Amino acid sequence: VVRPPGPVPIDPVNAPDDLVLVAAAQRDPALFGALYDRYVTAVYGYCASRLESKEAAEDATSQVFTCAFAALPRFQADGGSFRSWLFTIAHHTIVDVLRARRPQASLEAHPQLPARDPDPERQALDRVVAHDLHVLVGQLPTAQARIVELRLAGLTDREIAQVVGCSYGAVRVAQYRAVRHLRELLGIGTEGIDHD
Amino acid sequence: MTDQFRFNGGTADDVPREAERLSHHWNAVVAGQHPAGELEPTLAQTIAELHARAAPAPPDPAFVAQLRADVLQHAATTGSAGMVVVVPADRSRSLVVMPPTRQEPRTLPGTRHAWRRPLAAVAALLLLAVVGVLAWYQPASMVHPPVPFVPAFVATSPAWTAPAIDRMVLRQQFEMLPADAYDTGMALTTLAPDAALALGTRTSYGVGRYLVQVRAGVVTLRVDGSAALTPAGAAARALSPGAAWTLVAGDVLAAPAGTVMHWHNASPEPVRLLSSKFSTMSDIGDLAPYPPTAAETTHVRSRPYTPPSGPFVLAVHELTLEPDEQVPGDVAGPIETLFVERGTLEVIWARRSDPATPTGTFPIRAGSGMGDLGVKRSVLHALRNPGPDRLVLLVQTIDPLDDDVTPQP
Repeated sequence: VVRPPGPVPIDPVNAPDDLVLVAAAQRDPALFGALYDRYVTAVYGYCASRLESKEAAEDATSQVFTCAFAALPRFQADGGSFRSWLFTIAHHTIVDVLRARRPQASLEAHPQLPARDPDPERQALDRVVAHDLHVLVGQLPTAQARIVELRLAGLTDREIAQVVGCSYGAVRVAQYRAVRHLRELLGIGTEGIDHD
Repeated sequence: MTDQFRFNGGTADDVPREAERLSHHWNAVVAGQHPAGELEPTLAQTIAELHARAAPAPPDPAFVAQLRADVLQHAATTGSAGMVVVVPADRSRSLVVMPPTRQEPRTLPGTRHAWRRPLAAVAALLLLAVVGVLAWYQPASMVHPPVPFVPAFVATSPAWTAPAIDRMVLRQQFEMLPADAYDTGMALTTLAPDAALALGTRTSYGVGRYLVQVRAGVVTLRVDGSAALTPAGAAARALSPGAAWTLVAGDVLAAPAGTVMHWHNASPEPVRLLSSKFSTMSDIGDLAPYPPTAAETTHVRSRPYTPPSGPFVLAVHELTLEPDEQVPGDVAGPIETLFVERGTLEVIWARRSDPATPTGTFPIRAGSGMGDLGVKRSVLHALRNPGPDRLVLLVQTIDPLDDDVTPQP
């Protein structure tokens, strides 16, 4: 077995910068564990926010870290942060999972999703139903939903722009619209407002 | 002011300003910092509410520990992280000369270099111009009679067999894993009409012999060194250095790594070449085994999950699956990389803890491939042909050799 040049002496606690850990893991893959430990919960949380079951989230998380480990030698810091790179893999993994399932999906499988309806009473009902974040975010246009999910996974606006492959300005505007929409769905600040 | 902003939408200038404030606010929230407080209060409250609802259930500690062990076991076994996982068909499409017919590649971040595309396009055009002039001015002494076409051969003693295996198309035997081998891989290269490329012009592009099979088309080859040509179904013959030969589908060229080979597609039809090799550390980060010029190349790579400890065969098989036919995950175990040559492959995944139960599928279409199957072995349920037509795969395997297997010359 051929091993790359010797391991880089590194203390993950005292040198917590992602890129330092990545550089070390690229030379000594055993140090990938430090990156795994740092992000496994966030990646799992992101997968869980997009997928309907714990098992599906675990499978996706497995694929994300397997892919990340396999592709680590090609990671280049000039392409963005390691976190955005990792979440890009997660994003693509989940897209693949959902795309593969699409033909089997049926409306009956999601009876809890409220329909879009401009009627104020319906919106009020939706607010009651929208106790679940899946349902809330599911009310948004797809692009806005992806941005909110990545935000809730802890990514910054610039990292999200790298993950979804659009401009920083587009992310800002989309998330602004998303938050305004969610504000209404949550009924925040609407007391005493005349909707007419 | 708040209500007016919300329900009237504000002015055109308000939106980007407020969007920027919201972005700064949210950046501070995800960074665990105290936001500056410039954001409209109900928007800030909305963000806080979302994060309160988003607190995810933590992953099962047993799952986290098992996955960590699985991933790092690969590092302990192979000594290195692996390579490509899934390669879209046209990963190097910025260098495509033929009209693109497939979907846009999905590249991993860190591999996007948009600024290189114009430079690559200019370089490709210049190279094409040079190649065109050279092709036009070809000395008569370089033209040789074409090698007659012979039907493809059938492998005599494949070390790996599966029910649907049709034939072995490339085979290279090693007494042991080369000391400088890093990973193994296949490349599928499409040469457009009148396009040319040179292999072996770089100082490092693999170890062992370099094997190339013509999968389709008619191509002219000139080798600056020793090489052997195995016409489909016939015995190998040495090629004279500097002479020009015409190869057809099924022909296999073998040359020591580093031999310079000039390929030229003088026909009006595209030419497809399949190559198989071991890469070295110096190849890492470079998907193509040679400077990609007037060719479209798809490359899949794999770091062997269980490196062979003794003699082995690095082989490429052509595997055919009829509609609904599938290769179970345990039978597909020795596969390191694969290409889909015709049809659409359905990769069926399983849970690591329950390999017998499918959990999801992933389609791979013709022209695309998958690497690192070794590391995915534990979650592979089966490879299946879901379509109505025959599926043709090119699968690369590393087969440990038993003593009683007679090596192929």
